[in-house]
Amino acid sequence: MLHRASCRRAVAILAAGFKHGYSPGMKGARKLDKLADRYLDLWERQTDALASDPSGLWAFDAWMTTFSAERLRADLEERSGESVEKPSGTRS
Amino acid sequence: MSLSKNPPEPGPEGRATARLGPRPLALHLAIAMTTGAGALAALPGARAGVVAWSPDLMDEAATLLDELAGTETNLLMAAVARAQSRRLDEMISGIRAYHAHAYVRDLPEPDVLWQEGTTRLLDYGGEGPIAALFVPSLINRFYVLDITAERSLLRWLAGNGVRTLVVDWDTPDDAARDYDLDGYIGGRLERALDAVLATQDRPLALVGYCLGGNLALAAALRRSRDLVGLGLLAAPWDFHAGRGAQTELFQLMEGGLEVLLQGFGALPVDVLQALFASLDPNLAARKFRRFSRLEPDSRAAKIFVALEDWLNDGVPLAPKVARTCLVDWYGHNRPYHGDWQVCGAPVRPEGLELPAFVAIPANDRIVPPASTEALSKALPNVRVVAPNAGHIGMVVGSAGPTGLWQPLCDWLLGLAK
Repeated sequence: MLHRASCRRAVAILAAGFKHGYSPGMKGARKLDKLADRYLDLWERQTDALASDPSGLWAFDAWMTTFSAERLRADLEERSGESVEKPSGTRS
Repeated sequence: MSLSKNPPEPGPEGRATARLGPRPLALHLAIAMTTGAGALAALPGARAGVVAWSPDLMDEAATLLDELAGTETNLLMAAVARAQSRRLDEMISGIRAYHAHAYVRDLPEPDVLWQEGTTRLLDYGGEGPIAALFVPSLINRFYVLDITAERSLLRWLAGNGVRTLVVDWDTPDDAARDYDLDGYIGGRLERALDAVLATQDRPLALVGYCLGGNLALAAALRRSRDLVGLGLLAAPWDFHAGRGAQTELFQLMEGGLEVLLQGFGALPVDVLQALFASLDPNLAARKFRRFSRLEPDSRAAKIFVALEDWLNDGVPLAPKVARTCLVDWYGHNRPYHGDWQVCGAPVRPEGLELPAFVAIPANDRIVPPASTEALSKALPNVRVVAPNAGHIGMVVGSAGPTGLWQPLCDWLLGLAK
C-alpha cells in the first residue's frame, strides 16, 4: 500500500522535472537519469576530497567567486541589452 | 531533532530510547543538501572545463563529461535536480527506516569484575591459558567489540581459549571530568589492571583499539613486568600521516575548541560527531540511501542498525583529554615526535620490551594506515596484520573473523606457550 507522504514526494520530484522541460517518458530519459546519478556520485567524492584538503577548498572558493562574478557580469550585460531592444509601442 | 513521528519514550532507567542518528542529524541533512546544490551550481563550469577536480577523479570526470557533451543544458540541469531530489528522498527514507527499526541490542550482560565511578571492568569469561584486557577509545562505547552475538570479538575470543575482559569507560563521572590522560592511564586503567591481576593468575596481555591503543601503549610501558604482550588495533601514532592540510585545520581549531570546552565543561558528543563527519562528509548520505533499499528483516539491515546505534551512542570527552587529543596529538603530532609524557615518563614505543601485535586495516579512513604503520615500525618486536577492511569493519565486518579475530587469537595463545 503506497504511503501518502511517499506519493506526495514522488509527485513533487516529477513536477520539478516537468518545470524544466523534462519528462520520464521522453527518449533517452533513463540514460540521462543514470548520467545525472553518476555526476552526483562524482561530485560527492569531489566534496569529500575537498574536505580532506583545505588547500583545495581555498582553490574551489576562489573558483566559485570568479565563476559567480562572471555569471553576474554576463547577467548584467544581458539585461542592459534587453532594455535597449524593447518593441515599439511598449511602455517603458 | 528527530524525523520520527512519535516523541521519545523513556527506557527502563528513564533514558530516552528514540534514535537520534545520524548525529548530528541537521548537519548530515545540510551536507546532503549543500552537496547537491553545489553539484547543480558547478555543472555549467564542469561542462566548460573550469572545475579543479581532485587528481584521482580527473579521469572519471573527463569520461563522464564526454558522455554529457551533446546534452542540452536545460535538460541536464533538470535531470540532475531530479536525481538530487530523489537521492535526498532516499536518504530521508533510510533515516526514517532506521529510526523505526525494531532491533534492540539485548545481549546478556557480562559480569562486572570491578567498578570505579562510571568505569567498569567487564569479564566475558573464557577458559584457556591467557587473559586479554581490552582498552577501547574514550570517545565511543566499548560494545563495538561486542556488537551482536554473531559479530562479537570479545565473546568469540572468550569461546576460543582467551579469558577476555574489557574496560567500559562510559560517560565521564564527576571525578573523570577532571582527568587528563595521566588520570586515565596512571589512575583508572592501572587500577583496572590491578583488579584483573588480583583475580586471576593467567599471563595477561593488553589490547587497545583506536585511541585505546595509545592508552594501552602507555600503560604497557609502565607495567611491562605485569604483562606478556600488547595488541594495538588501528591505533594512531603519526597523527599527521595521510591527513594532508587537515592538520592546519586542527591547529586553527585550538581557540574555538577552548571556547567550547569552557562553555560546556566537556567536548560534547555532537561536536565529536561533527569532527568525525568532516573526515567523510557524504558518508551518511550514501549509507542511508543504501539502507533505504535493504529489506528491514534482513541480516544486513540488522547489523547496519546495530552499528548505527553504537555510532550514535557516543560520550562527551573530558576537557583536558580533549585538549591533549585534538591539540597536542592531531594539531602538533606530539606522540610521533617523542613529546608525549604520561606520569612524567615519555611514551616511546621503541622502549617496549614486550611482544606486540599491530592491526592496520587497509581501508581505514578514520586512522590512516600510515599513522598506525609509524607505530608498528617503532616497535622492536611486532607482528603486523593488514585486514582488508575499514576502521570499524575490521572488528565487526563479515571478514572480521579471518582478517583480525583469528590472527589476534593465535598471537595471544602463542604468548602463553
